[in-house]
Amino acid sequence: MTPQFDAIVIGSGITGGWAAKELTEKGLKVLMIERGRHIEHIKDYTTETKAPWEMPFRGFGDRRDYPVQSQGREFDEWSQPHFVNDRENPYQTDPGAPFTWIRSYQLGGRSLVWGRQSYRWSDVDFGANKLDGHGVDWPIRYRDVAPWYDHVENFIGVSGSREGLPQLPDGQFQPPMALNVVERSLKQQIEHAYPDRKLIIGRVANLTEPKVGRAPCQYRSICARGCSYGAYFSTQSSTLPAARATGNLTLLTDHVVERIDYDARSGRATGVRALDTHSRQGVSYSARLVFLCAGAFNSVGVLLRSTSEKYPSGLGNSGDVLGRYIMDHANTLSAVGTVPGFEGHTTFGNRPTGIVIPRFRNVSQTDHRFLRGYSYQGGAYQGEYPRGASSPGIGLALKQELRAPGPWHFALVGFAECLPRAENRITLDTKAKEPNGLAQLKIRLEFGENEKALLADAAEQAKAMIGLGGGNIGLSLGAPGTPGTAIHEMGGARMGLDPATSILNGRNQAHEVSNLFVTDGACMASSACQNPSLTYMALTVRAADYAVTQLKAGSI
Amino acid sequence: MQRREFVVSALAATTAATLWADLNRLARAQGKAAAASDPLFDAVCDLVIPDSDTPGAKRAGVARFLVLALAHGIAGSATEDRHRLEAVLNGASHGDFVSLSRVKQHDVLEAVDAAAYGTPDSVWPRIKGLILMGYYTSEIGATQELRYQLVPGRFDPDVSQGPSDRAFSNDWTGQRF
Repeated sequence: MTPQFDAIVIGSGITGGWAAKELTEKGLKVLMIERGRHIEHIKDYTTETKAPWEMPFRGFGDRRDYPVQSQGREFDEWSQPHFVNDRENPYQTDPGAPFTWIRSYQLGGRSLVWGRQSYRWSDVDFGANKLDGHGVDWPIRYRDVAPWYDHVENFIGVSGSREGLPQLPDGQFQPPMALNVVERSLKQQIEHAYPDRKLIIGRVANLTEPKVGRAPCQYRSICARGCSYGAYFSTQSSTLPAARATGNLTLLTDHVVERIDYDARSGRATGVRALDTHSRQGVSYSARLVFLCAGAFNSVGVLLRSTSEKYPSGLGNSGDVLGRYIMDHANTLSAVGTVPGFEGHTTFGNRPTGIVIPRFRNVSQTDHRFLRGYSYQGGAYQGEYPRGASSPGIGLALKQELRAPGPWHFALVGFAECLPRAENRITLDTKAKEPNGLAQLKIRLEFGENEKALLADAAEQAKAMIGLGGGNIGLSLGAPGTPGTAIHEMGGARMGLDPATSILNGRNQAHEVSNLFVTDGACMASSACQNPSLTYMALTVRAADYAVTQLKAGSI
Repeated sequence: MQRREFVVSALAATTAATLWADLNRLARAQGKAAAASDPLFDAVCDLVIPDSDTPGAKRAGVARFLVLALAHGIAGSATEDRHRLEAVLNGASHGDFVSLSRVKQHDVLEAVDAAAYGTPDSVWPRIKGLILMGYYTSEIGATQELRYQLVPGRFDPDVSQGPSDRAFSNDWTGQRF
């Protein structure tokens, strides 16, 4: 029987949108399935322009149904419709081992609410597993991905500065956003005191120059509400319009994929079975190709649910790899302190990115205290009116003091690389079900001694660097926050050279199911310490190019 | 039933939506034009952010925001916080705080405020924080006391800050970086 579609893309977030765009532009008839509701660009950004006094809770929201989601920094009352309701979307963890799972079940997924930080990985990262023996060797290196990074950056628009750093390769950048006056000063001091360190503006998928159908950033920094200017990359602003323009896209929202169907005789995926999230009715779709892009942990969940006689523990899982080696960056507020001497200086507008201090540990010299490294994100900012509640004072003097911007501070948040470990894993809970009847995911992820050692060093170094400004350190944390809070969860269906120890090959293709590609964070064999989304995008377009070539050649 | 008691029992028993409906019904029943307010919350709002060349927190209606905030647990608050605040202020007043003159209320609250920051689990910093949140997110606080510009359109990395220049309230409602 002729399949209904050339390809099914599961998920419509950052990678799903890219897969749909690339596959449709290459002429394939594509069904993109999204578990959440439809959100139309501009029209459905219902809170975008509302003032605080027009919101039911002044922007703070009633968070009682969002105890997990509200831990994410992009969450507020305006963006709340772009996150899942925790009460309706449960998952399991072990007692004493919490995991903060930030999710967005809607058309566009987390592309609507992502932090937009966009960094290339280098061979410092792709070579890390082989170098120290933790995890399996990546089957790819930077040269394999570099042209696809170009392709992605040119389309989505990434603003940033060219720095010539081997550990953080330059890309196809739009003009960078500006460092503010305090950041410029600290940059000079830090780079003078530490020649191996750089303070640079964050590379961010917010436009500083227009693109077709998209306007430059207006410096509101309210991106997660949805941006009618289309100034940041999201499925809605970028990949979905491109996919729709081909006439080859069929979009199905409000359907969660229960499983990928597998035909043991041909050794191929034949399609998917999905549930209407409203009626709970099942429906099947067939295709010649399946791209799994449901978000790292949910993609692993789909594979775990896709059992068969040949694969009783999940599709493509001949060994005992599926669900294991999950990661998230260990992160914490390494230090925040005051920066005196800039009274009389302020800024205008809200820049939607901060600064970055790229990794400097174990780059040019070996540090024997820990493996791999960490980087910082943060920036200089002035205190705002909430500062009035942190110390005594009432009345006219308080009102007058809060009328002006507050003292300057500088904050550095450390992001440490997380080693891949087998015991950090996702399983299907044997008892607890989602409201739709599917088994809940059980997430077990704890940081180890290496992550703790990295963040302890990050705290000391952050204090020293901020201290160069001559102020006082107000707070410094050296221990990791709750896993998941970096919102960089990845792994579980990792790439590798050996089918016995990995699920995917170097093309994001399942070793044992040639027409199945997993191109979101589930594919990651290590975590590096920089934001991973740009790499997911580059791997997706690379895999799509390969898949279509092979499909047209009749090889898969 | 006294209004204050009504508010307290309503807080414990109803959701915010019904609470507001109840409060407005009560206000109408009492022939008031505006929704019901709370004398204790009105007093502390006026003392924390008083009128100056711009209206203060009482005129901005922040007391009503406090009722809403506590009913919905905003910023870690709870409906019991109002009882706790009343007990602290009445204790420091050696009587009924609300009945004191404004000058005496100021002295009492100033002392409570000064002591609260060295007192673990004090309810006052949380209430004070909610007053500030309520005021600077009100139209009066956000646009008259401070400036509000939803679409800055540009980023200037170094601007001279004059002594009379007011902060932008939308800097807080935007993501910092």
